[in-house]
Amino acid sequence: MKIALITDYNILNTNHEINSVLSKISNLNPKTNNLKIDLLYISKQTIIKPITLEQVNEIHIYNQIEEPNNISNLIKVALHYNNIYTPDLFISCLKENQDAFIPQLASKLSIESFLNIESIKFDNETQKFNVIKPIYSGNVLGHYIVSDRAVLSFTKEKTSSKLIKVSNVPIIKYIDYTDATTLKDDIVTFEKVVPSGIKDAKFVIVCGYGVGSANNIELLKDYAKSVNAVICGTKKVIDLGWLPMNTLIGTTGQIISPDICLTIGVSGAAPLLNGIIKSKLIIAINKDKDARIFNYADYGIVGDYKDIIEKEHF
Amino acid sequence: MKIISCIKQVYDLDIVLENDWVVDETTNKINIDYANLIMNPYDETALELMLRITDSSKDIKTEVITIGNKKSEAILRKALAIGVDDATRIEIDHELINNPFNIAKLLHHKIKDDKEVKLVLCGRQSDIFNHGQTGQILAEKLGWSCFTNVFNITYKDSYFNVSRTTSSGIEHIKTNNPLVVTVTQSPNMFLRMATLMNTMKAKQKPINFISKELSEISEDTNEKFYNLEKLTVEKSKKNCIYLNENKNKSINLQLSDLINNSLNKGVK
Repeated sequence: MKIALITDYNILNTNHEINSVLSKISNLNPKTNNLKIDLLYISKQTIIKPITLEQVNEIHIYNQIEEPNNISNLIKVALHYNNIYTPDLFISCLKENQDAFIPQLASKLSIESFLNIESIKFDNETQKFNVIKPIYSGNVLGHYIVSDRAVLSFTKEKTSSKLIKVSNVPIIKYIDYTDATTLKDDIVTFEKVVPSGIKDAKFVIVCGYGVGSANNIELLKDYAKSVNAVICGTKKVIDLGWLPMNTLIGTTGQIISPDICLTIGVSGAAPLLNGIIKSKLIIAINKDKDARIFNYADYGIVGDYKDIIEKEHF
Repeated sequence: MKIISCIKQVYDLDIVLENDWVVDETTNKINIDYANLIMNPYDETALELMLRITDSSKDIKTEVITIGNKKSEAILRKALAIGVDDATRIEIDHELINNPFNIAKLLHHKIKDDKEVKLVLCGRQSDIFNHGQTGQILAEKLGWSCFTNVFNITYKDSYFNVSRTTSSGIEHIKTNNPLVVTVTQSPNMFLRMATLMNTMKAKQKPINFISKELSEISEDTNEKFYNLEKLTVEKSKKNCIYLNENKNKSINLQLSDLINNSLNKGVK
């Protein structure tokens, strides 16, 4: 069995995203199950030094690609690799466009595809992969059996920054791939949004619809500043335009794991809970004592947040 | 020119009670049939985006397509009532509906021969199985550009201006190629309401109906895909400690103490 990991992250850096994918692959017990792992590295860069990467057997470097994050180039490269090695599993670990790349590659190859799976296992008896993926908007986990081959990606989440163990120096192969296209007459402008700092924050305040108004959020921002916290919001709050899009927490937004997560006026819908459930401490404030959030919080306060949060801010 | 919006009828999962997330062992399903049937929220945003394009350029035709049973005509009627020109329902065997490859195949079959179509909007994902892939597979089949996580799209001088979120920022694309976009949530983009008059009128409007077996459309079968072995509900509930007002300490002091303590310790 062969697994191909596709990435455009700089593999010379000990990178969180690749680390997290590699640690999730280690569930497969590559050694005992005799799985070979290849890493496809797609970039403009030409030469890299030999590096050590746990579990990876070979690194294939596709270089001289002008637009490495153009989807059609990525698909071409994957197809080129597929024609030679035919891996049983493609795992994508890309900076951008991952959700567009996976289904399109799967459709080209007529194989299954899974986006944002939680974990993967390998059944040695049946020689099949088992995929676990959140369904019903994250209320339930679905256990799938991969029928043949598949393309998939893991949910992006912050992992503990443990270093990659020095265990294995993979073979590096260079592939001169020149069939790349620079695409189309589309005009693309990019606007960099200042990172909201949510991912790295130690203390996060999640505002729900119960906060009441955009004005109240401004007041809470003052409070957040005073306690050194970062403000973010639920889907409802973002929909109403009370907070910018990059502060959305939940399955479709960001998944966070801060030391403290304080939720204010949040009822606790499943997509949001999935976003905060890995927090070390969850404190919930809600008027409704039956709110679902209290089932998943370490500490709960039933009442109006305006009475609870230090008075000088209101 | 014509724009198509693909919509789906789903269960309103928000009203499902916490205790009802129980897997029925015999059928391997979860019974949420009491939940309301609504239009998928992402599709609502997509539909509103489509209508805002036609607000400014009147000569653009619009159509909504849904795949599902007779019940799902309710959302088509809703779309007709708020100003969509045409509505089409494609019948599908209920067992096959949860495979995005099947859905994309049927949509592709409907759209591919219509040379007028320049833009297809889909919601980024829908209810139960959350695959989030239909739009992308459709784009691949049509050979069109595909943009995911789109939150705004406008049309001016035969160019589409697409705005989408990426992990590091916002991308604005100006294109005149045909394209498929998958729409994510967008601020202040709520679906407009229909007037009573238009709702009545929409009841009289015809809905196109297509009934095609998947095997008639394409030969490659994806039947074996998405073999769901079992479902599990694994959210570890916590024992919530409620903080109450007491004599020694007011509640806001308790809260700030709690916050300071755990921040200092780093971990609880």
